[in-house]
Amino acid sequence: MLKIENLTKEYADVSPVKDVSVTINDGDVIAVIGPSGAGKSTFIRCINMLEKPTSGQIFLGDEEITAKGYDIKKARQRMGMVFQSFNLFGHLTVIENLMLAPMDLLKKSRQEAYDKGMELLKQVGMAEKALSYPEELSGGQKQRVAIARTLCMDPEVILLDEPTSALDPTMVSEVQAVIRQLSESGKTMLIVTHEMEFARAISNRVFYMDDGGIYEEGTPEEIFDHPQKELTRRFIKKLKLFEQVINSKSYDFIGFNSELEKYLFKNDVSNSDRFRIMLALEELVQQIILPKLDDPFIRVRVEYSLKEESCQIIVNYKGERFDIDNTDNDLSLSLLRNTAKEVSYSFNEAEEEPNCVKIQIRHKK
Amino acid sequence: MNWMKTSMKRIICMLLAVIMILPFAFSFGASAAENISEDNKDTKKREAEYKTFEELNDKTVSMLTGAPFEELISSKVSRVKEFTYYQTMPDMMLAVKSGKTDAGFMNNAVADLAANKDSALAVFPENLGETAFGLAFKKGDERFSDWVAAYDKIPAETKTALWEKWTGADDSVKKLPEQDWPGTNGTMQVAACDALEPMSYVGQDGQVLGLDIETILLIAKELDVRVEFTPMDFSAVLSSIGSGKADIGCGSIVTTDERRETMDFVEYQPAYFVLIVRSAKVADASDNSFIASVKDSFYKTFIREDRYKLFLSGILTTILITLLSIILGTALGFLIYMGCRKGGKLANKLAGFFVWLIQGMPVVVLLMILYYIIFEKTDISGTIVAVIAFTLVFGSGVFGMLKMGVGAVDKGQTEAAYALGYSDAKTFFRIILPQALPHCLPSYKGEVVSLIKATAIVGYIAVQDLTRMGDIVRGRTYEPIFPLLAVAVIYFILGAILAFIVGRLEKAVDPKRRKKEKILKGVRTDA
Repeated sequence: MLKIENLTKEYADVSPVKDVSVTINDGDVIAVIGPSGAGKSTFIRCINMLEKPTSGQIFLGDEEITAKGYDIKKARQRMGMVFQSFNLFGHLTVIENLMLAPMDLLKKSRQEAYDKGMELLKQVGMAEKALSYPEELSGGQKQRVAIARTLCMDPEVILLDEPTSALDPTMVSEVQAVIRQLSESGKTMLIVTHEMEFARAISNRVFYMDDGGIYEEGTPEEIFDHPQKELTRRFIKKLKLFEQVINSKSYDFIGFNSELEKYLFKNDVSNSDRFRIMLALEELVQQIILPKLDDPFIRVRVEYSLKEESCQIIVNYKGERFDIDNTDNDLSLSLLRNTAKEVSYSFNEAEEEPNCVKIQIRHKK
Repeated sequence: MNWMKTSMKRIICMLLAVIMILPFAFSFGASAAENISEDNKDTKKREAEYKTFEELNDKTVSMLTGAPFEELISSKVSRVKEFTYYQTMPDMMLAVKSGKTDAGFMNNAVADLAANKDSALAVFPENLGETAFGLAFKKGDERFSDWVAAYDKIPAETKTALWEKWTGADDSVKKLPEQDWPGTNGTMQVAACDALEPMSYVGQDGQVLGLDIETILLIAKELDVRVEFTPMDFSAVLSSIGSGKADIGCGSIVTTDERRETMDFVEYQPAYFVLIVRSAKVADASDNSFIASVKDSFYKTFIREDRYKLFLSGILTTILITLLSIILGTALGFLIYMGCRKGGKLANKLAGFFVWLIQGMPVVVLLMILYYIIFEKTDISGTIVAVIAFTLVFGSGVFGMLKMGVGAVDKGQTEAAYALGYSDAKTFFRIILPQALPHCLPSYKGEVVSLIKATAIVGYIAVQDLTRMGDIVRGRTYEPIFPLLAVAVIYFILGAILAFIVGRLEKAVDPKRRKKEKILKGVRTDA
């Protein structure tokens, strides 16, 4: 259906899409997810050439739509697009919004266009508003009309660019219902969305985009339940990362603590959790590991998952094998264990920092 | 349709009421000072308020704007309180009558006529200098010497008779001979001032009359040359000779050394610099009631010599220039906008330069640059030049409005149309323009009404529009108020009609005002 090869889009100072190659099959419903600025919107807008790709090729069926001299209008008629900001034509009523393009571009009669338009308005539950102007509608209603307008052209592919992002939370579900219904009709769809549950429910493939490329691709189960790659995992679990390196016995302990506290505040960690996280790190680093090392190099990572409200601390350090269980500071060790659900130690000689302590912080509701 | 007619009627009725009331209100103050009695023709006997130069000390003296006679006056009157300047003779006469100034500087022909026609005015008994009236030729024109020789052949008594005929108060004898000679020696173009009675002015049916005109006809007959007169503003007469648009200029032109530097003059009558002052107060016995004076003003302004025809032709010229400029200017602005719509750098720079150039100077300057410099050598009429100038002005306005209006339409509209498969041009005409027009039209309406008022300056390039016709009538009647008010009211009416039409257009193009039946035209909705 759609084949994309080495697609790249560059501006003067940023490249939102870098060398993307992917094939989209007939009937695929693809959710494109990823952090802001990952290039999702630019990618989807390149597909119907609203953004002109800097290089690469796009094939719609057998036709290369990026070819020089190709009449892109023909391809766009076969690819509908739904925008974040609806973009209904403000000077026309709802039904005229639906009739205009089929009459102008597909040369349908007024009657044909009207009948088809009304049928689609009924499908999206907007038939009663056929003679209203867009400005009289709520955001959710506008987006439903916009979807119907796209369908009037009988497109083979529908591109949806964050269709619910501009909506009041109370209206998201009415639009999602329409899109869900559409996804079951067998049309090929690409949808950029931040609604993970929704993406999982309607799609058969998920593209996780990061830094201008499709970083990981898979079925919804693969991406949402068992992400293979680090960035995907962090994104899906909404992990927020804090990382610092301690490389001197006289490091700035107060500065380190205040950075950590700032990070925990920012992620809305509860008071008791924050206390436990900071206590665990102080006992582990300051009291147990640091006194044992002559030339310390300790990498501290704190991962906080907004989704699960759980926190994991990973501490790697250089030097000889040193299991914290063997410390002579029993008080600190027991304090540490008190904060944690689980503490584990491992040693891997291949790593640059072979010692590794993982602590799962105990979470109390 | 019916309500439209009634609202139109209402507007016109209101304006007519204004016409009726304003002259009464305004002329009340002035009418006391005015004593127009045509039977008092004995100028020489009428006493002037001031009789010696001594008496003019500490008084205000006026002249036409640009006239270089301050030194001459100061040499006679040692302590002039102040010099003031007026654009036209009637304005100056009115200022003298109403006491705004005490003496008006002019030539004896104009002064004699004014004093003959208006008993409130008198000629100051002493003159300030002697010179001559002349017909102006461009320096170096070889026909000049023939004209001087031909004038010298005219007998002295004919010349005197002419003077008395044209400076007299009896308008019935002021007729011109027909050009019944064959004209084997070609045709000369004459630029004739349109409002300097008695030498050169527009009389009945828009015909040019006056002493200068008859003198030219006498000489032309002698030389067997045909002449064509074009009436225009005095300043346009001199420019027309300089730029070669006319062969001869006339209109009470007094020869001065400075003028001789650029032109040759056929000097045909001695001229004196004189002052016009108020006549000494005489008890006025005549019954000049307020109503009678308004009636008289109305009669002189509109009825006598069919002067309403002058107003009508002025209105037609004004409407012609305005409408053509609106149509062509709209087309021009639209074309320029289409040229730079895509954001081409060069096109935008050019358009920006064009707008900067046109809007950077006063329209009157643009008008004169076009007429006297750019179209100097061509035969294009002033009306066409005026249409060109106002087309440029209006076009640059329309360009700005379109830019603003289209800018106000959300960019998403374009993207949505593209995404549906619309071409660039179709997107603009089907989606963007219909949404931009409602943003543009309110300022468009304003521009249209401004335009009709702005055309009042075309008198500068010898076009006889409504304003100029008002001036001409004022020049003839020395009725300062009535013609001005009439002109103002006519502009109000024309402006209201144009605003009304654009207002209808505004409603017609507003897509949100369409009726349901129109939206669903040709569609069965029962299915």
